[in-house]
Amino acid sequence: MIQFSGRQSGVRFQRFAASWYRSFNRFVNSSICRSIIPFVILSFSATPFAAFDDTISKGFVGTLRSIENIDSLFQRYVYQQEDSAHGRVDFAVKSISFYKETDLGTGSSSYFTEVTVARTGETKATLDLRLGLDDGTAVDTSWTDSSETATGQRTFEFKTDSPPEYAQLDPWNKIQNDDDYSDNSLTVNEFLLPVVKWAGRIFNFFQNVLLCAGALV
Amino acid sequence: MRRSSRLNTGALNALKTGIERSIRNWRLWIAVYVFNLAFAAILTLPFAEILARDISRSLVGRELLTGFNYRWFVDFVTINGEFFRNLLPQIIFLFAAYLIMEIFFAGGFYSSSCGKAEMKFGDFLAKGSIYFFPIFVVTAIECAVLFLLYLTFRYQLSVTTYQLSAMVLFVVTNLLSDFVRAAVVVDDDRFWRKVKRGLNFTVKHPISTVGVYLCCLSISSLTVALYLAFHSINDSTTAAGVLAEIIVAQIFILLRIFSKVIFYAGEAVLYKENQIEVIKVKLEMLE
Repeated sequence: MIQFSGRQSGVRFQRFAASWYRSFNRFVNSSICRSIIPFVILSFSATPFAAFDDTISKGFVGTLRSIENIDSLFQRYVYQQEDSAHGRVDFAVKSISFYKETDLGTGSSSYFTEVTVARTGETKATLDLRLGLDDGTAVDTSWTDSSETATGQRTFEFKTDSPPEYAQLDPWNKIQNDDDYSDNSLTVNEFLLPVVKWAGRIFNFFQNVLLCAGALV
Repeated sequence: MRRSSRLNTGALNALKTGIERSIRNWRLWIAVYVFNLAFAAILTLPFAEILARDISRSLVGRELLTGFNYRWFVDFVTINGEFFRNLLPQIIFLFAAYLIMEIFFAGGFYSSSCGKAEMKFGDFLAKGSIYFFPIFVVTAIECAVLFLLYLTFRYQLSVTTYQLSAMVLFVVTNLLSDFVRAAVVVDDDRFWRKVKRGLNFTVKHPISTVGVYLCCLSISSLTVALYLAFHSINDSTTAAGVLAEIIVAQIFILLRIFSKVIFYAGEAVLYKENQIEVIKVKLEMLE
């Protein structure tokens, strides 16, 4: 006989389901499983769904937007200062803004990059900043907060003769200056296309690897 | 005896019938595609979030649009080391879950290829559960054999010879276990007898079985070649290019799943049609 009859398949399926249910029940009630399952569920559900919420709330649409939540935008630089030559986290960069001052008498303009930081430690702190100018050159500056006692917010500024194209705080993160100097609001260009491109590639990579894993069957 | 060793249905006919039946059951492989999509999405979401945080406001994004920046990558991995460490157990867990699902689906696909009518999704799941355990055992044996081969050849041969031997042995082991899986589903007997019959069938008819295997492999290779060709001409620095890349990648995945389903169907049809013929011949001889 080559093919199964419907009745025979049904009986076998019932037996199969019953034996699997018994095994599963034994497995779930075992002491090892009871200690592991809550941990697995927690760790499994936390990261992807938190990421999902975050992704949705940020919104994947639009290329240019004003940053309102400056705290979260510059949160990363707290960490990155830890990697710098100064060796410790002393302050967090809260905001960077660009503005222009024009001398009404001579008509010449100066460009200012204003950085606001929050001190988180009692020790003296130095912040390195590179300003890229529109002529292709870059100016390296640094600022030391000599106050040894109080924590809190400080604002300092760097002056350049030509408009800075970006402010750079670490090798890879440059805050691009998209300000047209009509007001002093901070605008940051969001590069969403590379995110979509590389997230798409990672997605496709996982699809392929899953298929390769399934190729064993 | 000579008559029984000749095949009633050849590799190409089996493959043709397999393609027809796979197209008829298109809803089933779309379901597999949806599963693949869901698993890959769960794996990718944390990466998308961390990428958005890392490059969306950095000028390195521009570089990553035109190519890959290894210095950035090293920086990215170093900074997000904890994230990768935390994610690894989840990745392993999801991969194991996906493999289990594939074993589950395999039974359904082999069964769906046996009948001429379109299989309902409920029946597909029922057949998948019936044949889950036998296919699981065959796959576990296959993995054990592959692992033993790996241990045997790992320290004995040069790299090139090892790679070639490993590839040939992987293909042979995979081919044998594929037809054993088909036999386990199509045939009706005790498990080990079905395993023996499946092995005998593959060994006795190497041209047809390898023919089906190679035909399916060439369909897969062709889709990969087309995909790579598209990759080389597509300009993925523009929004339209990125969108085209994503769409073509999904078509590619669908084609890969389709070629895999053809694989199942071709093997099942080849085995089933010829086993019926062998039994007919035996009955004639008995009469």
